[in-house]
Parts: sequence; C-alpha cells; structure tokens
Amino acid sequence: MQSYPAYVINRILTAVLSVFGAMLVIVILISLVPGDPATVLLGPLATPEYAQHFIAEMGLDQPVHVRLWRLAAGFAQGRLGTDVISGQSVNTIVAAALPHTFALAFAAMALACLVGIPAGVWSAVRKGSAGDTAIAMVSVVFVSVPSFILGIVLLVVFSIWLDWLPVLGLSPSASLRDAAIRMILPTVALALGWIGLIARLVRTSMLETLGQNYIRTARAYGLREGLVHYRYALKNAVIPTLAIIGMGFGRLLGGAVLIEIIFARQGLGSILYDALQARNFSVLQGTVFVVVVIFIAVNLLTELSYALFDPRIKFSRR
Amino acid sequence: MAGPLLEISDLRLSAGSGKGAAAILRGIDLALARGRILGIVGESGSGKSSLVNTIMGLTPPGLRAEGRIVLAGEDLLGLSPVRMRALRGHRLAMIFQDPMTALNPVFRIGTQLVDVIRNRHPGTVPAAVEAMAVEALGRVGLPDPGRRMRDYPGQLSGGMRQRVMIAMALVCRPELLIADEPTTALDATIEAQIIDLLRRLRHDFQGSIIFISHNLGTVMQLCDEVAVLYGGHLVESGPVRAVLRRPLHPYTRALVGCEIDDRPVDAPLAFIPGKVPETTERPGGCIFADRCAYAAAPCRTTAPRLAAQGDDRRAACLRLGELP
Amino acid sequence: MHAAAALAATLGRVVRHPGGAFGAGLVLLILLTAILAPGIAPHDPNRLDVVSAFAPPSGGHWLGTDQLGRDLLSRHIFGTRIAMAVALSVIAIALAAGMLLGVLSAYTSGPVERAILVAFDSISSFPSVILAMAAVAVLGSSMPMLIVVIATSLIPHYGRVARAQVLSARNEPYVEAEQVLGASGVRILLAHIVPNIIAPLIVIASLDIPVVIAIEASLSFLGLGLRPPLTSWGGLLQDGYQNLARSALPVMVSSGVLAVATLAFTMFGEALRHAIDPRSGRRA
Repeated sequence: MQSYPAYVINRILTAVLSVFGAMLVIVILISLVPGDPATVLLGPLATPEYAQHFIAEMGLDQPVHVRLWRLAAGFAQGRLGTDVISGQSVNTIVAAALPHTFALAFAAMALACLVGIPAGVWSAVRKGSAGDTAIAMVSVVFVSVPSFILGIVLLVVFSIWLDWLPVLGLSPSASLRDAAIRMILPTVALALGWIGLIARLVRTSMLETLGQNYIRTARAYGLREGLVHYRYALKNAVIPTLAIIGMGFGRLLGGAVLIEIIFARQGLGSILYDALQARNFSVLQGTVFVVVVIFIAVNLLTELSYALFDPRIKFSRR
Repeated sequence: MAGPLLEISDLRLSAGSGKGAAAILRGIDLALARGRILGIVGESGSGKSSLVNTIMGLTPPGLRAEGRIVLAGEDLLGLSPVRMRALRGHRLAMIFQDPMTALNPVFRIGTQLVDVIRNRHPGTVPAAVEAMAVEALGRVGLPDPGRRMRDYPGQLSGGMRQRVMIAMALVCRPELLIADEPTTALDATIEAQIIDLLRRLRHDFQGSIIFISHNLGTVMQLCDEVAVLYGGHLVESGPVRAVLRRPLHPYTRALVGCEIDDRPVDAPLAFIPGKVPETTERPGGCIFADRCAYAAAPCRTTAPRLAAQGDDRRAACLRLGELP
Repeated sequence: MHAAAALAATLGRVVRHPGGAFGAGLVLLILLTAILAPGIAPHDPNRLDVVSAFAPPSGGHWLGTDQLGRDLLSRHIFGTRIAMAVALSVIAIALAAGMLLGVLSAYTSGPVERAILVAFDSISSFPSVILAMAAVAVLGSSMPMLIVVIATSLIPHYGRVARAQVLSARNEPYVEAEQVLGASGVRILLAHIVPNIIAPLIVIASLDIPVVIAIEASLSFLGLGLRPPLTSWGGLLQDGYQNLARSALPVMVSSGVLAVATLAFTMFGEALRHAIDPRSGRRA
C-alpha cells in the first residue's frame, strides 16, 4: 500500500486532470453549436456590435485548442471572464453569490447529519420495531422524491396554506433573524433527501458494526449502552457513510440550484438561472466552472479525509 | 466469606422451541471457590463459550437461559439488564479469543482503556485514570506504555493486543475473570509468553479465574481445577492434576489420550472418532454413548447423573465402576 | 425456457421484497397509463375552457383544471407518455453506450483506454443537472437533444461498472481456463463477460429511471426542457408554479404525480437490486 502523502499527491493530480476535462467539456459544448455560434447562442439579442463583442470575449473566432488554452490560462489565474452584458467581472458576481449557496448547503448538511445520524442509530438499535419501519418508510420517500419537488410542497403547505413562514427569499435589507427564518424552508427542503439517505446508510452500517467483537468487548466491560452505540459503534459506522455523503454532494449542489430558484434566493443557482434566461454565456461559462471546481474539490476532500479518518486505512499493514 | 464465589446449578441454554429447538447447555452444575482457577476443556461445540457468555450475560438475543448462576449470593439470571451491566467491568471481566477483533479499530487503545477505568472507578481525576492505564499496560509487559496509549489497535501485533486486553481486565479488579481461549489465535511462542504473563499475574490477582482452553498442557500449568464439557453436559470435574492424570470419564480419557500419543501438546482435540452431537439431538441416554468405546446397553437408555467420586471429584458415567 | 424461468423467479423475489409489490404495481400502472393515454384520458389535454379555470376537483375534472381550464388529470396522463419516452430512451442510450465504452476501455490499452477514462472523469465532474442545464441551454431542447444530453451525463455511471465487471471477470479461473483452451475473445465476451455485466447494469438502470424523471422535470421546470405542445410533468409543474398565487392545486397535483412516480420506480429498483443480488444489502 502506498504512503499517505503519495496517495494525496496522486488524488490531487487526478482532480486537476478532472478540472481540465471539465473545461474541455465546456469548450466542446460551445463548439458543438451548429452554424454561427454568436447568432445561435445570442438569438434575438445578437446586434452586430454585441455579437462582435461576444465573439471576442468568448474567443469564438479561435480554434478549439486555442480557446481551451485561453480558458485554462484565465481560470488558472483566477479570472472567470467578463459579463458581456453588464461589463462586470464574473468573479465579482460569483463571489457575491457563493456565501449564500454555501450557507444553504452547509445548513442543509448539518441538519441532515443532526437528524439522520441519530435516526439511523435509533433504527439499528431497535431493528424490526414499529419505529424502525416508520423511519424506513419515511426515508425511502425522502430519498426518492427530488428535493425541488419537496421544496415546492413545503412552500405550498407552510407558506401558502398554513401561512407560517414567508414565501420568498432574502431581501437585501433583511435582518439576521429575518434571514434565518427565510432559510428554514429551503434548508429543510434540501436536507430531507439527505436525512433519508444518511439514516439508511447509518442504520445498515450500525447493524453491521453492532455485531462486531469489539462491541461485545465494550459490553463485557459494562460500558453504558449509550456510550457503546453513540461512541464505540457510531464512529465505525459513520466512516463508510462519509464517502457516500461526500460523493453525493453533487446531488446537493444540483438540488441547491433548483431550491434557490424556487425560493427566489440569491446564490449560484439564481445566477445560473438568470444567465440561462438572458442567454448570457459569458456568465454561464464561469459559473458552471466554479460549480464544477467546488464539486471536484469536495470529492477530493471527502476521499482524503476518509483516509485520514479511518486508522484502518492509514495503518493497514497489507 | 463462606461458600463458593460462583455456583451454577442446572443451567440450561436453549434456542427456539418445538421440534427445531436447540439445546446448547443441558443442565450444568458447577462451583468455583474464591481465588481459584478453573479450567474448562472440551471440543469445539461442547458449549464452553456459551457457558461463559451466559455467565457474562452476553448471550445473543433469542437464546433462553434457565437455572441459577449465583455470584457471591446474587442470581445473575434474575438480574435486570442495568444491574447486570453494572456487574460487568466491576465484578466480572472477560478476555476474548481473538485479540485482532476484540479492540475497537478506530479508537486509540489508551482511550479504550481510559473508558473502562472511568466506568470502573467513577469520579477518579483524569490524571489518575491516565496513570492507572499506563501502569496497567506496563504490568502486562507492553514496552513504553506511555507512548503505546496513543496507538491504534492496528499498530500492535496480536500478542500486544492480547496484553492490552489483559490490562483492561486487570484495571477492573474483578472477582471473576473469564478468559475464553485467550491464546488460540496466537503463535506458539506468543502463546507461551501470554501464559507466562497470566501465571505471573496470578500472584497479584485476588479473584477467581475461569480459563477456557483447547490445550490440556496449558490448563495443567495454570489451573487448580478442571471441568470437562461435552455436548452441553458437564461430564467430569475435579482437581486439575487428578483429573488429567487419572481421568475417570471415558470422554476425558479419550481427550487425554489424544494428547499423550506423542502429539504436540497444543494440537487441537479432534482425534476422537465420531463428532460432537448436534444441539438439536436429544438422545435418551448418555450423550457420549455414540462415540464411547465402553458404551453398553443401559448407556443408550439411561442418562447418567454427575456423581461424586471420592472427596473432590465428580463424573457422569453409568459404568465408572466397571471400566478398566 | 430457462431464461423465462429465471425472469419469473426474479420477479417473484421483487414482489416479495418489502415495498417491491407496491413499487412494481405502480410501475406497471404508470407504464399502462403511458401506453393507453388516449384511451383513458377523460378529456382532450389541450382543450381550453377559460370559464372553468382553476376549477377544484369535481366529477367532471377529477383533479381540477389549470389556468386555462384544461383538465389536469388528462394533462398528467399524457405527461406520463413523455416522461416514460424520455426516461426509457435515456436509459437505453446510456446503458448501450456505457457498456460499449466500458468494455472497450477494459479491452484496449494506451490512448484509447485513457481517452475513454478521461471522458468519463470529465463528464462526471459535473453534477448531472448542471451539465444537462448547460448543454440544453447551448444546444437547444428538442426531445432527441434532451435525451442525448441526459444520457451523456449518465454514461460514465454505466461505463465504469461495465469496465470493472469486465476486469474482474477476466481474472476468474473459468475465463482464464477458456483462454488457455483457445476460445476466441468474442466467444468469451459473449458467453461469460456480458452476462456478468448485464445484471448490475440493469439494477443501475432501474434505479436511474427516477433520476432521469427528476432531471427532465427540473429542466422543464426551469423552462429549459421540452416546449409545448409536448407538455411533460416538469412543464406542468412550471405552469402551476407560475400561477401559484392564484391556485396551489395544479402545483400540488404535478408535485404529487412526480413524487409518486419517482417513489414507485425507486422502490421497484431497490427490490430488483435485492432480487438480482441479495448480497448487495449495502449501498444507498
């Protein structure tokens, strides 16, 4: 088995390669546009001057490998390009939106872990009970139904029918409390699927762990069941679920985009949506790239922390 | 204090009911005095591990235990799970067969030891707990115990892990320590070291020990008394030298015979023709009759009772008087 | 005969798995609805009746009407056709292409293998919804284009599994034995390796159907999907969402249909996974 530093370097190189591949996909996508890209992409917006500007900014007059190189060079220096319509730097636009998306994603993930992990442990410990069955049924609904559908249902039920929570997202002048209240529904909508997923994974993994000899040892030394379940078993049980949680982060990002649009929140989702509506490809390109980089980075961090978290991998003598 | 530390009477362990019911222990009677070491021997499947797991209250769900297991005046089978848990790690402790899997792979051994100490001696200040853990690791012969505290089990060899398990048992200062084949999973040289360690620790240790082994030589070295289990029955018990030098029961004779024929002393005991009875069989007579070289007609119809043979020995065989 | 018996046994296990009968029954119902749509829809899905816009459920309109008085039940029944057409075509393309590329990558080395693996990695560095959004925005959203775009985002999923199965099957003793005995590569591929790949790929395919339904619905919901007169469930959802201020009913009907469909296919897929490989108890 290779050493941990070698493993880290290997993974980082693979990730960098993936970022390149993603840029290639973006460039190829645009080069696949039939006919004159400026006219097709811009549609009715294509005045001659604007088309000219657009072609120059996107480098559409260059061959594919030059475009890839320009894109890569720009991205490598941290320049995501310029918004052809407003003239703003795409960096500024994305930087303003990122904190909102991150706040939503982290709140959802935190909520999902806070509810999903105890639910999974609880079901595993009471395997076969009515509560276990109920959790399993609710979980499968949460896991299968897409989060934007859950979001819409929550919006209708809690904001329109019950009128408990405000309908739409964040106004720029909102107080912190107001902002927190407006976070509730999007966070819950995004978290539900993860609650179901985490509860199921933790349950399966807990059941396997509870049959292990070291759990019998902990019991043989009279440790409280709470300590045995939530400390000795849980750490073993959570490790295999970490990878899947991390790998599923893409689903969460995709879901967050739609949730932001449904709840009219600021964030990467609304930028993407606005850019799509306005056929603003300069912004679209940079924003998609940021999403992909985040996605790849999260997957990388998951893998690396997974190896770090689990001493069995790190110290494996095989 | 008068009376034995542990007194087991008519202990039965069974699973299921009706035709498919399995009888794992079929009425065990056993007593162990304070400060004594009892060896339990028998083939795989004879019920040795089930017996000690039942004493510890660690039987898997679905198994039913009946009879009495009295530890210092308290019937363990009648205790609530909470009370039983309070006894484990205080008056009862156990060392397991496979040290490779008995320790939690994702916690440092120091952490695991400290949790056990804190549970055993609540209210001890953290520094003292730490000191106790280091001291215990030192006593079981772990080199550089202070640094070993921070190791994960995966960083230790099997022998070292078993030493950690023994340290864990020692810090509990139990009245009854159960060691379930603690050396079976180890190499012969490591096994000898662990046995040697147990013998040295014996002098400091005040409690009683139940020591399960496949290896009669080890039992002879370490134990005061021995009990022979077969098919969920106790077939013979008594002082270790007397029983292993002059076995009474045909099964014990066969066991000892297996080891004498210039075979290595640590060879597994699988040399008796036939096989251990299934837990679902319910013979009308002696459980060993099918494999017994001395079986006669009554052995197939009448179950022998465990009867005193002299001052301190007992055996369950109808034909004891007639055997050569 | 043998194959039919195996299929019957697998279906038996699907139905006996908890939730399997429920999922399989609903899946059957959804498929029948898609096939029989013109026969069972009570109304013409596009017939306007502005006077009775946003009518609540009644004997005439079981699920009520939308902002133009169109019958919601009929519109969703016809939406089932589109959802199934998209989902099944996407899965068929992704499965076929993924299997082909996966097997190819396992049997080649050097630049071809590397190119395929880099392509898999590049595609899967995008969250599928985002890739589909960007691609459809650039390339347009005709139904064939939508199908190809969603299928492409799923290809690596199948390709990697196919590749891994081939690589491990090739090292099985019986395959090596056949090689030694001089069996041709094609024979080994067809007789031993393809059967090994098919089962796990079918399981993934069944579990991907709800994913495709969700991606198509979200694209249509964002206005990036199919254009009228092709009205998919996602398009209906968007219609309802834009009229949320006037009535919540259409949105709830579309949400309900999407929720039931994704749930049904997930439960069926999970039962199928257990039926095909009872050992694979783990995995999300």
